[in-house]
Amino acid sequence: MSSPLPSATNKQGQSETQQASTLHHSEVRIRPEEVRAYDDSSRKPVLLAFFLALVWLLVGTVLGDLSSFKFDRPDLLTEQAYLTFGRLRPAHLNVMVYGWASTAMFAVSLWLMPRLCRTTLRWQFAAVSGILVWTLGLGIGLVLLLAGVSDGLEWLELDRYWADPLLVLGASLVGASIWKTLGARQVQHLYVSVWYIAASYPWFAIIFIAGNLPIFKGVESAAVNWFYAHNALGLWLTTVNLGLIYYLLPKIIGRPIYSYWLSLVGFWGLALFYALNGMHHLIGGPLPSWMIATSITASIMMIIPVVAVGINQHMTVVGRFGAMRYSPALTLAVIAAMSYTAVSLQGILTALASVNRITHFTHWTIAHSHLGLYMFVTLSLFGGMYYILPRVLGREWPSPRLIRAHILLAGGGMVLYVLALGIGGVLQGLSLMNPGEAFEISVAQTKPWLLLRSVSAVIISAGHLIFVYHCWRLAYSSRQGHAQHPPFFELKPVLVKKGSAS
Amino acid sequence: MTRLLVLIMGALATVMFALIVLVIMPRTMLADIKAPEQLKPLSALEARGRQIYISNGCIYCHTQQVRDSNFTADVSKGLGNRPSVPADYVNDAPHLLGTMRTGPDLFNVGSRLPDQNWQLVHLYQPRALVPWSIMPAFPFLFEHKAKAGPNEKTLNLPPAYAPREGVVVVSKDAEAIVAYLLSLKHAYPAPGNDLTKEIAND
Amino acid sequence: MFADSIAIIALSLIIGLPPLIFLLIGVRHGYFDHVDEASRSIFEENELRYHRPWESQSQMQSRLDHHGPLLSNPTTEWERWL
Ligand code: HEC
Ligand code: HEM
Ligand code: HEM
Repeated sequence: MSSPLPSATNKQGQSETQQASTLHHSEVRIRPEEVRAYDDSSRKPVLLAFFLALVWLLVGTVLGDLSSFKFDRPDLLTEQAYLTFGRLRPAHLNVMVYGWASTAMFAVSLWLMPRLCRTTLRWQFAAVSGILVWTLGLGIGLVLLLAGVSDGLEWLELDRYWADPLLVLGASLVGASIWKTLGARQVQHLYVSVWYIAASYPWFAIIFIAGNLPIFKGVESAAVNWFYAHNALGLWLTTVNLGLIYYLLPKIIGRPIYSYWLSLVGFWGLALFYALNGMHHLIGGPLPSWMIATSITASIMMIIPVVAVGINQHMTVVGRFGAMRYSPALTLAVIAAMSYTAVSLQGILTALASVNRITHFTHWTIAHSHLGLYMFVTLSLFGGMYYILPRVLGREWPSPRLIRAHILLAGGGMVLYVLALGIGGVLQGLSLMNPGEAFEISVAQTKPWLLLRSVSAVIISAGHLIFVYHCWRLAYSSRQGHAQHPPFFELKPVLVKKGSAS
Repeated sequence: MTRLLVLIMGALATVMFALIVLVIMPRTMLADIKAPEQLKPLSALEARGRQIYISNGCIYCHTQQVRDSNFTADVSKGLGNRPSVPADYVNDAPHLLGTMRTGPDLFNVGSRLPDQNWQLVHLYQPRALVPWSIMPAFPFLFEHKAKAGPNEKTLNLPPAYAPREGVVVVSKDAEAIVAYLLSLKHAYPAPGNDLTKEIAND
Repeated sequence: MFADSIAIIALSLIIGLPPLIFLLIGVRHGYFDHVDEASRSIFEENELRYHRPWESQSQMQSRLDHHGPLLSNPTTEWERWL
């Protein structure tokens, strides 16, 4: 196992005592050449995973758009079974969650781990085959789903015999490469991102297997269903992206994370409370009330890790929001970090029985979903791609204008989406609560907001097309283009603390 | 290595703890709930209908649960005469509780809309009966034919929605899903059960 | 409905104790002894010494105080934090 060890010689001539193979990294900084070597070692799987993720993003966008349009035009494309809303919608969810987000998260973790462990990526072959096996599993599951073969559980629709074993195998192979790299690390301390990313892989395997066991019936089946779905959000999608944000913010700002201690509180708080949150998807439902009470309690306790993460990330950037003008990766990471706080606070609110009785079963939940999965997860992954791809490919993004267009369309479109469904959802919920109102009214009241959502869907899709086109230009342009100005340079800073200049 | 050990053990411990609290413990506690006498197991046709309900994603717009009447309006809105309890679901695998009420709850739809013809037409084209509906039409569950065969049932559609030529024949699938919908009746009194009483006390 | 019941207090305790234990294990293992080092471990040599165009005078000054004289970026250096 050879790796370009960081030689422990220290240019600033400080402590010479740390020659052991495990370095105290206090004084010894990585040299840029070493970083290059780490990036090179993960290049293949990272590029492969990002490529597949982009393909899935486009597929998922089409599926999401169609699902959205079908609310406005229920007779659109109804002749074929595979185009019915009840198949396109779960296809959208599975493609976005397992295709786009998870595959991009493989790339992010495989790129980050060597850098954070200061060693080359181990078992690169396992990582590459893991990504391919995962994609194959998802492909099979998707075709079966559209053909009408579904396990019938939200978030777990993919066929449990043909698709899910491949997904488990794929994630385990990628996880094996991650953990092997971690085991071979050359630093003693684990940076907080390592905690988040390394823990996510065993978590995902456990919850995904538990969720798919075919032994549950009745309300237990519901309990397991939401135990899984909630943890897929909290112990997989959230954790890897928080790990990424914890890396991007300090790196780009050029300033260590505000409080390392807080970040660990955030990690363990999340691990514990989030895992118990699942039953808040069934508030008022036919489960033993202590189960639901446990989840509501745990949801409220989520305030601790959420605030810890929020303060930590805010204090890292505070006073330097002007940097967002220079770096799209930072812009996206900051918006994603803020959205994480926002979606969690919204979630805690939604988990209170007095709010949930209104918003449960309404489009408020869909607004919450997309605030979380888009404004937080997807934007953080976009940010990661803006940061990672140029470093892996050794070229600069060709066009600041395309970057700007992408961020404004995707971000702005999604703000519209969330606001529209948030308002529509509350109106719908109030109507459903009112014994005097017929069901018709709840439908009539949501219709305009659903139409607005379809408008935003078109805007967001345009953003996605621009982004994919830009990635294609980046990958295939022969010119090693150097932009003259950072993409946001000409824009007035949106978020800048008054008086921080001078 | 101790750091990695704490990381992996800690991470596993938290998720296993949750798994025990939310999955394994309830499984043992709920194991001895019996099906109420009045809750009949599904017939073969109804079971087939349930499968079609799943594969066409009715669950993404319809719930099958009547929530706790202490803090929701489900009972006063007429979705059922009582909140649903675990015993109502003992035969369900997978569960179809649902999370969206884009359409009405279907837990008692068999008592509310018992007319088979209404259900068939509604499935073929909801807007033929409910003009404001945003429920998708499911024409692919039916067959278009020039003429109905001897034992085949045809749909009686309003002219605006009838095909220009031929007839719409009710397929086995359409018959099955409607049989399933009509089987959804949970009007019997909630079986006495400690676990469910707890809900009322809280 | 679920508010102010004894169950909530009991549940909070049951849920709250394990993380406390992990925190203690963490402290015992010295996770918090070198937190500054850990949080600085992601930076490359000299990375903290680059001039950053968005920083105010005082921010630049503190960067200079902590990390030594500032370096100017090579022409394409803004890419580093794109
Ligand atoms: C896009 C969401 C959507 C999907 C998918 C959907 N429905 Fe509906 N459904 C509705 C809406 C909205 C209504 C209320 C308007 C109406 O009666 O058509 C409704 C009403 C109904 C009703 C009448 C209930 C009542 O109390 O009036 C039945 C029965 C029904 N749906 C069955 C189904 C079945 C079976 C499926 C799957 C094959 C299905 N629905 C799929 C939205 C949906
Ligand atoms: C082009 C952008 C998108 C559009 C137009 C869109 C549209 C939709 C629509 C119409 C639904 C169904 C809502 C309903 O049943 O009422 C939905 C659900 C969902 N979407 Fe998206 N979506 C988009 C992007 C994404 C992305 C990027 C993700 C994840 C990374 C995502 C994850 C989900 C999830 C998880 C659900 C299920 C929500 C729930 O059950 O509460 N979506 N989306
Ligand atoms: C403390 C944090 C959070 C709490 C307490 C919370 C709470 C909730 C609650 C109560 C629901 C159920 C709503 C209902 O059906 O009535 C829900 C749904 C959902 N949440 Fe959260 N949430 C939190 C954070 C997040 C985050 C960070 C994300 C995204 C990464 C997210 C994504 C979702 C999604 C996608 C759903 C819809 C699931 C579905 O129905 O398919 N949540 N959340």
